[in-house]
Amino acid sequence: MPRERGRLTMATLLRAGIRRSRWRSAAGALVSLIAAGTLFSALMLFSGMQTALDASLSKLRAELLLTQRGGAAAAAQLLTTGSAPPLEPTIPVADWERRMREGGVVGVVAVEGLDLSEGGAGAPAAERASVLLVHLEQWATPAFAVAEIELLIPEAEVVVAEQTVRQVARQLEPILRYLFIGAGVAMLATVLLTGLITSVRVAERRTVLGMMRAMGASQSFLLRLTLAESGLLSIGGALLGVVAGLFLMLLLAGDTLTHVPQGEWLRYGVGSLVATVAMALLATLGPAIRAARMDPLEAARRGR
Amino acid sequence: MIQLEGVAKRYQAGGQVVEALAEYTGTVEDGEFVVVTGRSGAGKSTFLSLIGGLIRPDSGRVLIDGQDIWQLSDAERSLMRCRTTGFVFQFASLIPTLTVAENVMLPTAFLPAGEAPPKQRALELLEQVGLAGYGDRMPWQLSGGQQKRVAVARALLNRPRILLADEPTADLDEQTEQELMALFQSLNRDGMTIVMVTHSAELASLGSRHLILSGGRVQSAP
Ligand SMILES: Nc1ncnc2c1ncn2[C@@H]1O[C@H](COP(=O)(O)OP(=O)(O)O)[C@@H](O)[C@H]1O
Ligand SMILES: [Mg+2]
Repeated sequence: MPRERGRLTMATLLRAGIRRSRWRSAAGALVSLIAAGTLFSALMLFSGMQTALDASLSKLRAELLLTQRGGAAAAAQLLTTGSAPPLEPTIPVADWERRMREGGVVGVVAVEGLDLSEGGAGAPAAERASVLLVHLEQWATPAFAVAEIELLIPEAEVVVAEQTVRQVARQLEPILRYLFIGAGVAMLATVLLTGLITSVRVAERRTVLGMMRAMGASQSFLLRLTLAESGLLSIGGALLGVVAGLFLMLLLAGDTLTHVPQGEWLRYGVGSLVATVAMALLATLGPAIRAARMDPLEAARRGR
Repeated sequence: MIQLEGVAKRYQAGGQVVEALAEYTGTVEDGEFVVVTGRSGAGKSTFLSLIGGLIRPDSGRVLIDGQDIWQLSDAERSLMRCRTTGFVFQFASLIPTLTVAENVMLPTAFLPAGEAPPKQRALELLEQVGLAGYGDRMPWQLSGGQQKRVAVARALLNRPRILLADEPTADLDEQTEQELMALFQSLNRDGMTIVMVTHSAELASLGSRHLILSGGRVQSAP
């Protein structure tokens, strides 16, 4: 009958400790919030961009995209995001394909028409297409094919898939780099600030810690108490951080996020949370050991 | 029974060595009320902390009921302290975010789950120290003297056989001091072993034995 017994639980002590210095508790949670939020956002964006590029490349499975003059931008967008703005289907599919085959463009495996009159991912087109997808043999060099096609079909604009994707990836690189640097700095700050805040919390409680030792608290009890308090604050902060990061990313980069596979959301969320809390606990270890080794005589020497 | 065998404690502070307790051998029998007096810096707190196992002696042994407490692990020694010894310090050191009753119940947090006395005991003890009905208040709503009495109730919660008090009456008004001493005497009559440190020579007569500490040396008062 644990309820009948008047045992004061660790939970009660934790609550009391967290309330004891509200602002420091809030600061401790905030540090984890920022770290987890940044890390989660960076992971989600990274994954979203990667998957978006991979997906559109593998979906089209084309090395070259042919359009009428002025259609290159739409084709590039189709490549990198999997979805294009509406584009009139004006390419005579059979005619262009015949000109390529008779002209002897090296390494052409298949030619496919795509109708983008509705925009989006497009629909297969038989006679008139907005974009012509050209599949090359593995050994074929796209640059040669491009030169030949530009000679044979002067009205065509050629988009090289790999080149375009690589260009987009290069544009994204600095953004991602900053995000991951930000996440790293936030993690480092978590370690430093959590350590600092816990140190202050321990220092301002010397008397109570010493008194608890005198009342029979073991070193391991005080170690667990201090770790649990920081852990709780960090978990709370990190949870909020993941949620905040999610909302922020949905707001700023919702398109990219739709490409992140469902399973990954949870994995990145839990991963960011665990990593942040682990960092916070690591940082707490030093001050927690100091709390555990507190001289019980502190209670006798100091007031309050 | 508490036995000290050749117990000594030195502190090092800034290159200087302070002999806080010179080698001391002595016994506190069950049911005794020992009062320790001496000027500040004489080593009274050190003496009491050595008896209670709060600080480790540089040499010698401290035995409680024949058990050398420094042969135990920290967990064992802490649990033993939790079960057998109550401490009252000059400062109440209440946890400001716990209610008065919760503060009294603090020592139960360090006991195994099944051993804790019922909450009713905390309320009874509050009544015993003259704070009936104060259980749900917060420490800041109490005067200094009342806070000290909460600390006394807290020390008694786990029904310790030994009560160690370090200047418990410092900064108490005369009436509260008298009430507290009456409580100590009644606890002692009921069989509790008490060692009380005070710098007030007047309180020395309350005990069954009087030790005087001076410069880390213990003398029996005539
Ligand atoms: N942690 C410590 N470090 C250095 N010196 C100490 C420490 N604790 C106590 N002392 C010294 O030991 C002596 C005895 O101290 P204490 O036992 O607190 O005396 P009392 O309680 O009689 O005032 C004093 O000279 C004090 O300055
Ligand atoms: Mg003292």
